Amino acid sequence: MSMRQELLHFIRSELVGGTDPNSINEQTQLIDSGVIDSMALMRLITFVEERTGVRIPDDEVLPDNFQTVEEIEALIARLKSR
Amino acid sequence: MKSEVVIVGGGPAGASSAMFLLEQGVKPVILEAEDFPRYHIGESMTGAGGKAVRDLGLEAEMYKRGYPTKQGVNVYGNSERSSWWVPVTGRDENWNLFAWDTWQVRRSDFDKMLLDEAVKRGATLLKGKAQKPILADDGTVVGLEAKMADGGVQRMMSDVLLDCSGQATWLANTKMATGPKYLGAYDKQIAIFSQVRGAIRDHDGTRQKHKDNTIIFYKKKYHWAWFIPLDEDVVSVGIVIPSSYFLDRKETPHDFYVRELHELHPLLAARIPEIELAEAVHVIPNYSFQVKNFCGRGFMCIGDSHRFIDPIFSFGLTVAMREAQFAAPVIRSYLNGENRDAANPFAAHQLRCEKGIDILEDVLDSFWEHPLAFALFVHSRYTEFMTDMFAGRIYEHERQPSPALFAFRKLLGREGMREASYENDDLYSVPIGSRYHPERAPLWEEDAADVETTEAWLGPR
Repeated sequence: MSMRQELLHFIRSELVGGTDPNSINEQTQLIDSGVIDSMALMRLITFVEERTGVRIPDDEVLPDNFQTVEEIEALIARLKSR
Repeated sequence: MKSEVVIVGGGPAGASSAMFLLEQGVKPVILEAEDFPRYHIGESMTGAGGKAVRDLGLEAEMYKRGYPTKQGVNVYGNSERSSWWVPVTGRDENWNLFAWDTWQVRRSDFDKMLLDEAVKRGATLLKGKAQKPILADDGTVVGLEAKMADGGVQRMMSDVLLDCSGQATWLANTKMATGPKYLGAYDKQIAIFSQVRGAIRDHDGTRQKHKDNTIIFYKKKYHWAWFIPLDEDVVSVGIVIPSSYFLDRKETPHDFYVRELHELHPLLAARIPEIELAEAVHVIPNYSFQVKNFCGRGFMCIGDSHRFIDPIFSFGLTVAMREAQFAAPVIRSYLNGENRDAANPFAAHQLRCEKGIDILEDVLDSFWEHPLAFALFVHSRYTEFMTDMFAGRIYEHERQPSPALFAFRKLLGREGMREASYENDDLYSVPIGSRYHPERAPLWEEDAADVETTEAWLGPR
């Protein structure tokens, strides 16, 4: 699975509350639309760190970095290139 | 008359100062205008506040009086799942964390107990109202003039004058000794509060769901409520909101309060199915301020008399009592002749206190500005350090600034680290925000000068 697929799979299977998992794609607004709440977001951060070995720096723990799967991918790429 | 130390105000800052001074062999005079008991807000302690009470030898008394034992703080965000809790803790001599109790106190009772105890231990209590400090030619504070209960004016001379007048900020308002008083970061907020009977409490036998814990509910940024049990039946509940929101509603404080109890948060509403108030609805607007140069030749300000940020995590009693504890040995040394000729004999004490409260302010700012990071730090990344901050272990000798605080300062200063410079009293360099800045509109208006007591400051009963 690609990182994108893994992220989508994790979000669909582990994090969504009342939302239809199949309606979520890489551009779905996860936070502003309330698909995932703050507790779920914390689990997502932990998942990303464990899966990629990249630690999200303290000053990157900002909701804007996690709005969509695409943005999470971009964050991971940016952190890996540091 | 003459006393080595004269204390203005007999609340927790004043009574604690007196008792810690007595331990140092100093017998102070306390000047208090009001008859105790009297109503006061600020009912919850942190772990370090509980330690200060224990250091005064009052633990058994606290349990005897049956004050609710607070074992933690539960915070409920805008969804039921986005909640978290922080336990009340202490640190042993090896800096290992342990679970501890602290207390919720009905202030009328607690403050009277402290003041009575200070008198029992040897402090002299005089009834009267401080008018103005007496200054020597070189500007040193050498005493004060007080209007006594019998109507006479008395000059009370002192080696050290302690302002423990709380949010009345008596000494700062005289503009004769301290630096100026500025509005603080949360000066646009307003607190509306009362006491509620019969609220539904947690009780499942765990520390997390202990019936006497503090609960905080927040609806959105700057809009939240506290829930602090005061006995088996009565709970202090306060609503804190931006002043503009309150004014826009055009409701009386009572109507506003009752409606907010229903509407602010579903979990709060569920705990108060029927609203029966045990106390009038009180209002404190624009409560946030800071006094610069709050220590100097012949004087110190302790607790709220020099700074108040925000009530959200209940640091008021803790800071007042801890500053009193820090001050006592410093005053003892000064009376022994140390630093007598320094431009500010208490500069080190002042800096220690200032840095501690700056840490608190950074924590509070981070709570509102970076809730995601805040929750992550509490839950997993910096749990232990966050526990310390919630306990009020905020001073440099308590391993501060901690990694969590550095992280917050990074987040708050997105273009760089948010830092305060302590080198020049008037030039605090803060990259974002303006709360320390001298140009910030000073709370230095004529009407503030008329505020003579904490009660007057607290507004209508």
